[in-house]
Amino acid sequence: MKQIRIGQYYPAESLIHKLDPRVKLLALILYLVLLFLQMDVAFYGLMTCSVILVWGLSDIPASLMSKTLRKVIPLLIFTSLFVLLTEDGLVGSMQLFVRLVLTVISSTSLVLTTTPNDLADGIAKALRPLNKIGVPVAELSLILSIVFRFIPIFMEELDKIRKAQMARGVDFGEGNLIEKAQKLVPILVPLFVSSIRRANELATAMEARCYQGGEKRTKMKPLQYQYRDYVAYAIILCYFIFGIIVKIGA
Amino acid sequence: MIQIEVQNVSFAYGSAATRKNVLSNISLSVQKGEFVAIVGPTGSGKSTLLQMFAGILAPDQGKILLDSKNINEKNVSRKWLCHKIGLAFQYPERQLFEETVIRDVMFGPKNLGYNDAEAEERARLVLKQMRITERCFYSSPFRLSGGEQRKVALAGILAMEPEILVLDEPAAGLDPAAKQGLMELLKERNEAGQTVIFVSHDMDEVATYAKRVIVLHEGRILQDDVPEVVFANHYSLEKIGLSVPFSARLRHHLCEMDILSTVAENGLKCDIMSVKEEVVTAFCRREAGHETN
Repeated sequence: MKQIRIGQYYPAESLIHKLDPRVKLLALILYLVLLFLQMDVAFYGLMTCSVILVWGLSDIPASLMSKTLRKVIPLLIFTSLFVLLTEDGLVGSMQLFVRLVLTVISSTSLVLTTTPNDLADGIAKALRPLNKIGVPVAELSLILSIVFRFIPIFMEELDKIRKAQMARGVDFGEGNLIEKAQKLVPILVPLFVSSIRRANELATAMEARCYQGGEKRTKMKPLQYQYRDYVAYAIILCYFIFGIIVKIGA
Repeated sequence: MIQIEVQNVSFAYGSAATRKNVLSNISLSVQKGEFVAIVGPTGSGKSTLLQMFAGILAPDQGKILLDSKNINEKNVSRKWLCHKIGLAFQYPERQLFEETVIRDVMFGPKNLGYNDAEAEERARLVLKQMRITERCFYSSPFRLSGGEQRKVALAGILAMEPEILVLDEPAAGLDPAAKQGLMELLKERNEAGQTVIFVSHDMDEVATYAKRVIVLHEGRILQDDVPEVVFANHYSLEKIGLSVPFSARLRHHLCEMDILSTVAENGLKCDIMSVKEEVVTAFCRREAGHETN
């Protein structure tokens, strides 16, 4: 349970860690757009190299990345196998597999190098223009940061409840699929109860500190672009335009 | 008869890089019918040790034997373990999930293979022992007060009738009356022959009920003795962030004032009643001394 690293920050002092979250978000979005345009094999090679380059710059240990990959690869293979049944056949299947793996690696690189707070901040800043058409961006970003904050807490809670039910004689290893599903009830009900209790406590605590959402809130650490962020923007845009030109040319 | 035997157990959490030893080379054994308190500052490994007794965590090194059977071998079933040992986690009320109180208490016995009628019979019995009124049996456990929820959750463990009871801070957060009620119940169970092991931060509780105190500090056993001996040396306990019971502190101050002697006839008993008796005899003696003068 404890090894799952979805949305968990890996602290380090690399260049990628220091980049503004907005830069990293844009990079990820453009990268994924390119990834899902129909491209030839050579271009996939380039995309793979670039993600490995970013990963190398980010000081994330290979073991961490391979652990994440190992968890999802069965699912990716399963998904890719379906394509075998369509007219795209083996090539299409391989293509989808590579795409999915690159998607996982690139998005994991983002969450491992960006603190949940920065990420929520970055998303909120990027969404700010939507405020004009009535989207409650401040509230959305608050929700986002709470979600990020609570993932590890719930993992821990889940672990505790699971152990407690084991002590009451539940053997999670045995039984067929239906029996295993039934054994989730003694875990999920307490988890829901505790999440509602926590939400209530959090709301009370926020009210007690006179929390008010909205535009007037200032940040303790406002996001500020550095020189390196502009350089990164330039590189990302060039990369994207290059990708589009290759696509049109092909 | 030795019931639990811990042999050279070590345990560490985390991956290779962030490894931190929680227990280092711990050995101890518990006889049938003992009443043991495990004390120690936060992070000393108490909860980890309890979870190992119940086979929820396996030690990295060393062995844990229950009735001379290694509990981490493949052929040991969870059912067998639950017959032997009942572990109540900290804040056990957080594990409640059923629609009614009685069904939640029946959950454990049913996992052990009892049918509905037998399970209900056991559930009713322990709920009554826990002094839960009958009209609560069919209401939702989430409607009860915190203290009652705790009792119901503990009843869920007791209903499995384990030979050994292991409780992680069973009385934490309860009001004084509920606390005492719970500890008295554990005492009754112990007097009936059940082995009871509990973790507590309340040293008065430990001094009143436990017959043996194990002090853990940074994953090692610092002291393992009767409460009188453990609490006699309050400096070593205070150094690691623990306190001694009120009675032991009182005795210490009275000794410094030369009202009590440091070598008492009854072996430095540390519960409040014995200290009171000592004080009374000391004063009587003084009175007698004044009169003869």
